[in-house]
Amino acid sequence: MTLTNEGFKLLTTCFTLTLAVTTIVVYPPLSLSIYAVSVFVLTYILFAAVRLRKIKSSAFGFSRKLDVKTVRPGGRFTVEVTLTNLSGVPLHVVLNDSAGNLVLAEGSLTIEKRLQPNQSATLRYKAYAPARGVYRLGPPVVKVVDEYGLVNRVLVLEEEANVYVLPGMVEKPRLAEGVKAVQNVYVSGTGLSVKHGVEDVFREVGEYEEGQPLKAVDWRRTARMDGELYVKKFDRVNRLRILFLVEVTKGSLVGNPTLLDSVFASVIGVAKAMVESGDVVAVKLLGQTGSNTLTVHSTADLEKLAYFLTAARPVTAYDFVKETEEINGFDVVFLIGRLVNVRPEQLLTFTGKVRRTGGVFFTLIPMLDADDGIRRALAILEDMRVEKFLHTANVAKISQHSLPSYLAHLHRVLRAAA
Amino acid sequence: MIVSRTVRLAAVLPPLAISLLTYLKTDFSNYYMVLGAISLVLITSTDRLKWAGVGLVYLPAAYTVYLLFNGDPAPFLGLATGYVLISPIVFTLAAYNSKNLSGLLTGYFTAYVFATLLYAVVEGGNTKPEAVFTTLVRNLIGVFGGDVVNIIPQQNPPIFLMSTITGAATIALLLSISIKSEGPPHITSEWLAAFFTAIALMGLGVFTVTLYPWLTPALLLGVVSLLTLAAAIIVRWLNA
Repeated sequence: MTLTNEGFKLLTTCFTLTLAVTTIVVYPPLSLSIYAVSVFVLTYILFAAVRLRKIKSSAFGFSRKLDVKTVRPGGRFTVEVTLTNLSGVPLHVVLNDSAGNLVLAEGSLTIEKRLQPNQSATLRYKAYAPARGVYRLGPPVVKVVDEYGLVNRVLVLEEEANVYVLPGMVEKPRLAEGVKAVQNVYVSGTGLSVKHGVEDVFREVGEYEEGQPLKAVDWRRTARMDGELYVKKFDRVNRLRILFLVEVTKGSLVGNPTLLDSVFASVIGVAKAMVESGDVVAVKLLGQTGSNTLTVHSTADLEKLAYFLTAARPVTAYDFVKETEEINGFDVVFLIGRLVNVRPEQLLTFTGKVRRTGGVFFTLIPMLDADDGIRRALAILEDMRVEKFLHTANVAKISQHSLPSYLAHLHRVLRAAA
Repeated sequence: MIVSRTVRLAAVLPPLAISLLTYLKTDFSNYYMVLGAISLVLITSTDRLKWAGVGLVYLPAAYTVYLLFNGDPAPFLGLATGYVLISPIVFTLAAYNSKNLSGLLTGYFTAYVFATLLYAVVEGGNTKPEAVFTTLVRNLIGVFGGDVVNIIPQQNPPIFLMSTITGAATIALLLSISIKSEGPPHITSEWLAAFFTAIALMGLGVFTVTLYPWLTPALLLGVVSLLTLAAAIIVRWLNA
């Protein structure tokens, strides 16, 4: 319960004038007049505060909608916040929404209205996110103001909501134009299904569990038994276990879209193709603290992957050896990044480690598209810097726009070899 | 619109009434006084008239200063008295046109005090323009030399008349609180409860004024202070 600006000013004025008319300006009619007004204001504020206290969050219905399913950097979207008065009595409300770090493009974050019972007020504004990341909307704050605007009750209707701004997708030019430099690709497959080329191998018959597809039901077995449903279980023996090691460093925040966003968009795109063909994809973000690895088993997990990548916060530097020391058990490992924090011998050591466990390791260095003088100069410097890595096997410099195509190409090669 | 304007007018009636009583006793023989009064009103009016007011303020002011240095102080004092005499009306206009309640209340109080001060000067027999200005200054300086610091002098407007008008103005002030956006007063149950509480406590004040006038200031301040303290505690409890 707080006083509004108007209420505070009025109360202060009343008290000051009361002090004046009882000390230095004593004229009974005026003194009593100011006194009566002061008493009135004080008691009114008290009565109004007691009434407003009875209003709870449940007196309002609230909803917030965005007009787009996926928010991209720079893309405008409309936020529609609706507040409904469920209290059964008319209420004067001021609804405030917060757009956090989103940029307000159009409209206002505040609406003031007197709501009759069951009447709604809608607040509409347009905003956009300047870059990829997790942004916050809200929490919505409702101020219920008394009839004369002197007292208000502040209610927070819900917690703030996250808006995931996914990396912008990049166009896909021809692969040949995008590949800047590439070493020979040595593929040593998983060796599990080369001979037979089958994907599923029968393992056992088990009882049907809710949620399993009906096509998995073993109808013969079911007919022979006591009426319970039985399903056949298979092992997918040539499923590739793929790991993406993605550098999330501030050095990748160059270009438009940034190199990092291009990498994220490529990983999301190619991961979708990979899981659709039965592979398991894990993504480990290098340089991130806390939960920095996400495994995608099915297309249902792709949304989680998008959110996971969106929430990544670039760091200045990371320790490549420490971050990769516990990695094993993958058939394919992709390292994608500018390798600012990696030395060639560390890369070589890690390549050997992956090979020893039967996997294959690719390093992809995304390059900025040089379309003006400054970027061309930067590209030349970057070429000189990464030159030392190109002597290692399976290292490629790829244009940022060609990354999805190249990853898809490598995946096709690997699937063919598996 | 008309209702809200009428309520506002009723709320600022006391300073207007006192000023009227003052003007009835004032000698307007010095035309510079009228000029001063008109220019001050014009300067607080609309934007277009404001420029006319500025001209009317600076030109006569410069001219009367010139006359003052040439040994004729009457125009200068007349002009100054005109400004002073019209000031309660200017404050009343400011209160009447105020957009918020604190502005209304402050304007009402200021206009009331100025009108009372001027009334006391004229009531004391100082009706000539020169005398009004000099006596007012002398009265104000003299206030702080006494035992009791009270700006309001002994020569007051008639208490009975002013009590009646001020009572009506007070009710109008309370009604002004219930007016939003120039509409008619919107009376709620909280307003009524507060109104009756204020009337009851005002009754206590009137009783004290009548029987124990010396106790009145302390009682009024005490009641308001206690109410403020109670409000602070109750609001804290409500927020808990």
